[in-house]
Amino acid sequence: MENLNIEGTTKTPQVLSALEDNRLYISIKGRSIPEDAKEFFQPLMDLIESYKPNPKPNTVIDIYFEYLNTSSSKSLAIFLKRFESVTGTEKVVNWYYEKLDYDLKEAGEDFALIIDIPFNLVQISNS
Amino acid sequence: MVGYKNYKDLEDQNIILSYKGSITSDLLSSILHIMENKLAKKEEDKLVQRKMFNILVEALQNLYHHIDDFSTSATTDYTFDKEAGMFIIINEDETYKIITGNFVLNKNIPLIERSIELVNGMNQPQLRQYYREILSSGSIGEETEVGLGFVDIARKSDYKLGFEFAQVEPAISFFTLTMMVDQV
Repeated sequence: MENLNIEGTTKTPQVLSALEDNRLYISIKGRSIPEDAKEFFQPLMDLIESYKPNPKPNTVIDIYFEYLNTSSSKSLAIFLKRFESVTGTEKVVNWYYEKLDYDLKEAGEDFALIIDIPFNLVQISNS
Repeated sequence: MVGYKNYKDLEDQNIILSYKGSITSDLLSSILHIMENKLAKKEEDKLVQRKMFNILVEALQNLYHHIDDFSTSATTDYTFDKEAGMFIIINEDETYKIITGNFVLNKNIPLIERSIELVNGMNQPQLRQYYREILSSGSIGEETEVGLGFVDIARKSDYKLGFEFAQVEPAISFFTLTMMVDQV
């Protein structure tokens, strides 16, 4: 399984993945406002598909958006649903948002309700 | 004096930005970049900046996605670029107004009307609930994405969405959508 290392752009976030001895770690960070998010999220979907048959004991996804459009929200929901279906691993999603960013706090709450995976909302102080 | 008159018109109408033409991905990147900088200078309130940016992203991306296929529609000898779009951003009376416009096939009007009337009939908690329902439905398609765009715009707007269809040809109308945000 190849690790992902996608650099962030003005419209898309940075995406990293690291397959370690005991876990798979995925990080999505930055601004996500592409016109077509489906295309952008495809490598993440593929990653989960190839990981699914032989998962590590732990799987951690860190998500820290600066901004998220509706197209990205939709693709992220589909990606997290796919992640939800991976069995045989302890899954957790950490959703980071800045203290005064009510939109992203609400977005995190919404995903926590929709997705059946332990979901931590982590507030970080504004820089 | 044509040049000055044009300038004066833009100023008198408090137009920050106006555009008519093809809506491409590169154009949207540039416009969003320009508007983000303009708002950072013009608007003190971070929340208002964010709301405006949010509505702009969704409204412009709706324009980008929502170009009907006019190739099979009956055309009259009145020729115009049906794939062009328009947007105008105005700041007056302590309110920002975003107006978008594009051509639509008349047969698609009822769906657009229904989507807008649906979100206009909801309060904030209902909009959030509805947004969540679309997100969790798991399907993906242009229709749900446009629907989600309207819901998101309604959540960020301080007023109900304004809309109008002006018939320009037997099978084609010009659809105008107006969104407003108060400067607190």
